Amino acid sequence: MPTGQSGPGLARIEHTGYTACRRTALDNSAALDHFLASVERRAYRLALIATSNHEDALDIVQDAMLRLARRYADRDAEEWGPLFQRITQSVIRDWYRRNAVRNRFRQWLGGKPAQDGEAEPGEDPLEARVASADPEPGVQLQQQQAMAQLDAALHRLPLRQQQVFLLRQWEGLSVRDTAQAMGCGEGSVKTHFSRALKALRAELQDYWQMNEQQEIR
Amino acid sequence: MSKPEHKDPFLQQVQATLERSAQTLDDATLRELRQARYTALEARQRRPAWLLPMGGLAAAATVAVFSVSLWLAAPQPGVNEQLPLEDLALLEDSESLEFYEDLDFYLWLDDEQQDAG
Repeated sequence: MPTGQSGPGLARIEHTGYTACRRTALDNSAALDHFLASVERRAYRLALIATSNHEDALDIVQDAMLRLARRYADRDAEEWGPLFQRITQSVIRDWYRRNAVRNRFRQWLGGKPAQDGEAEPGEDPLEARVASADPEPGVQLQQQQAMAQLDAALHRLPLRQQQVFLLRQWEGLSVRDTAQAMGCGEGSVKTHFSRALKALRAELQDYWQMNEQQEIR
Repeated sequence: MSKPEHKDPFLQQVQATLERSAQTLDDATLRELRQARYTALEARQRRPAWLLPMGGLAAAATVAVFSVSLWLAAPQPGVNEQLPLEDLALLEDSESLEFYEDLDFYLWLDDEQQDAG
C-alpha cells in the first residue's frame, strides 16, 4: 500500500497547488486594483485640500498606495479601507512635518517660505483642478466657484480639524473609525469636527446662500 | 458608518460639492492616479527578495548615526541651547523611521522608474 504520492501524481498536485496559488494571487491583485481605483479620487482630493499642491497630493496618494500594496495586500479586503485611511493620514502628517522643516531651513537661509496653493504663473488654479463636465457654462462656473471657496475654507482650517471633517462628513467614517485613522481620541474627533463645522459655516454659509438667491433670480 | 447631521442643508451642500470635485477631475490627473495605482500593484509583485535584509541594515545604520550625533552634540555645561523640539519629534516619529527602513526600496523603485522612462 503506497504511503505517499510520487512521480507524475505529485507533480500534478504541485502544479495544481501552484495554479491555485497563482489564481489566488491574481484574484487578490485584481481586488486590490479595484479597491485602489475606488478610493484614488477621494484620496487625491483629500491630499490636495491638505497640501494645495497637485504634485504633493499625487505623491501622497502614490506613497499611501505603495504602503498598502506592500504591507497589507494579503489582509482581508474589508480591512483595506480603514488601513488606507490610516496610512493616508500618516503620509499627510509626514508631508506637513517635512514641509515645516523645509520652510524653517528656507527662512534660515534668508529665503521666502513656500506658499502652498500658489499657482504657477499664467496657470488658472480652477482650470487645473476641475474638468469641464457640465454642459451649461453658467452652472459649471458656479460649481467651480463653490468648489474653490470650499477648498480655500477647508485649507485654512488646522490640519486635524480639516481631516476630521473630511473623514467624518465626506468619507462617512464613524467617530471611532475617524479616531483610529487620525490616531487620536474620540473626544478629540468630536471637538475637531464641531470647530471645523462652525468655522466653515461662518465662512461659507452666507456666500453660498447669496449664490443660491442669485440663481433663483 | 453614520454621517453626522446628514439632513443639515449646509452639510448636504458641502457633501455634494466635494463629491462633484472628485468626479470632475481632469484627464491628466486621472491618468497620473492610474499610473500611481499600477506602480503600487507592480511594486508589490516585483520586490526583489535580496532587498529584505538590507532594510534591517539601513535601519540599524540610521539608529547608530543618530545616536552618535546626539552624543557628539550633547550641550556643554553653561551653554543654554534650546532644543529644536519639532525636529526632535520628526526624528523620533515612527513613520519617518519606516521611511529610512524602506530607503533601499525607494531607491530601487526610483531606478526602476528611471529605467522605464
